[in-house]
Amino acid sequence: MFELKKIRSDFPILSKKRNEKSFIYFDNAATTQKPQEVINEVCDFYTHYNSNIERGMYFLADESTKKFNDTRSIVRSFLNAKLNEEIIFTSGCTQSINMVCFGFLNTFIKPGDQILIGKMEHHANLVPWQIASNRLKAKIIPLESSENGVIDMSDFKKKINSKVKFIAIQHISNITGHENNIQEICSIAHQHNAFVLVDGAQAVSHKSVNVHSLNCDFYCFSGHKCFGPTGVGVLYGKKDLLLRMTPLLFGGNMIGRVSFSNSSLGDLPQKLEAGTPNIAGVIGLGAAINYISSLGFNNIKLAEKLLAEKMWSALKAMNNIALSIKAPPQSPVFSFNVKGIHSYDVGTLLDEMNICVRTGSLCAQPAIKELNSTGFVRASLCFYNTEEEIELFVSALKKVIKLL
Amino acid sequence: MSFEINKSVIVSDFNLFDSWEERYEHLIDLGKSLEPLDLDFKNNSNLVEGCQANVWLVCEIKNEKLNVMGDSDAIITRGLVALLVRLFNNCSVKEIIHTNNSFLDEIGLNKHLSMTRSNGINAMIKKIHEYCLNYIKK
Ligand SMILES: Cc1ncc(COP(=O)(O)O)c(C=O)c1O
Repeated sequence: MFELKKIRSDFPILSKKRNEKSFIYFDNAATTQKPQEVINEVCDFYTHYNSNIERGMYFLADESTKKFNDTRSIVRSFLNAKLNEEIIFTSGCTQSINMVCFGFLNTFIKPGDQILIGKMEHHANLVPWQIASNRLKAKIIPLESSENGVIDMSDFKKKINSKVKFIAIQHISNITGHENNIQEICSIAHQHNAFVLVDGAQAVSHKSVNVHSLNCDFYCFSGHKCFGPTGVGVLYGKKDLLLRMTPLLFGGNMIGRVSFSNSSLGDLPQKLEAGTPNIAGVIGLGAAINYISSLGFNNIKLAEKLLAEKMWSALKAMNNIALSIKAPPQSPVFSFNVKGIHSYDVGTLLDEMNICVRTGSLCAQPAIKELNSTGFVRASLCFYNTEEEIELFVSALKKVIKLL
Repeated sequence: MSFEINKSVIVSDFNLFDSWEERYEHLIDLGKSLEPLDLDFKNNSNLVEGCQANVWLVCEIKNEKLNVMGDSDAIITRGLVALLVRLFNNCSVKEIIHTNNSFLDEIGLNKHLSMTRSNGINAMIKKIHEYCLNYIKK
């Protein structure tokens, strides 16, 4: 049962007032708000069983270790991965991508090899590849996108060849809300013996992800974009590939035997999780995933579809709005410009009316250029937003246009 | 012209308005009336770092007095540039280096206009200050 009023009350921040008025949070693609369950879980850890994991011989450590490892199972089933050791906890999507760039790519890439990257990628899924390929003397080839910011499959089929060793693409665009055909991309890539990393930062809060049926080699996301705490994220990798990976960090918790002159690495997943992890964050992420499961993706998709349709037709009906997309998005993300007005001016005045949106280059400067813009206003919604908020947003937007 | 006089004119102008809408309209009007900067000046060396919109500031000192011009591609930011031009133009270098950012509070910008935190106005003021300080050091 999806009862909006109850769901909104699960998120304490949504009842916050500014200047005695409620606010509208339309920046969910930057980070989502946190339900009380997640806040309680983090608080509970520090209040009742704070202790380091995997090392203490006492009851507190048993409890934290168990919770931590339970979360690995929660994430495994959330992504429908086969094995717990295929789930590596990281500090976020950015770290996950960097681990593959600097811990996997370097194990087999030769000078002259090619890496395909979508033109619409977030800086987090572009810059690390640039640096890694520079060091390895590999070549980055950009993949063209269609008008809605998804990979142009005919361009992809043209560019894939035996020199291509790796493909890095996002699941859903943080600008256009449109989805790439990951399954087909992976299947074509594998016919050419290339690996695929999927940046799932914008997907996991909107749709159920099945890494098994996508058949991607790596999948990354951040906890804070799916109702969990900041500073925690996940790298999923197929076991045989994670085994080949070299860690970026070395230290405690990840070794087998250590003598003063030598050490052997431990097993997965610890091998790739050196040092004390963000235990509270990981446990909080578990609570976030449980929260999502309690709502169910069917309900989430249905609610977000209604919001997206309403937003789409409202923005389409305004003739001075230039949307970044030609077709309605699969997830409720809307990047647009008010014709002749700088995105920063729009964002500033919306803030004055207690509406939170993102403006500017959205951490994806090449993508913005690709869409023939210098910066967008981005309203990104989520299931806890309401139709009334969309109406208020639209009338605020009209007021902004009048003022400017 | 002195900084204190310029400031009090700006403060009393802003005090005429009760609502945030009117204050923004005033700022936007200031922006619209600002002389556009010549394209030649809109280069990277005149760009002010730390603003979301592009801001260019050009400073020049003649007879120990500052002449400042500027522009921005966002109209609210342009209004702020216009404000700074009104505030600092024709002030003596010595006077400028002794001013601090507290005038933003007096004008009511910090209180009334929530955007001052992100629009780079501090970066603009810093650029003007640094230009004057460098001049004096020479
Ligand atoms: C598509 C995409 N990839 C990667 C990231 C990076 O996520 P994080 O900053 O949490 O590591 C983001 C965040 O904005 C994103 O939208």
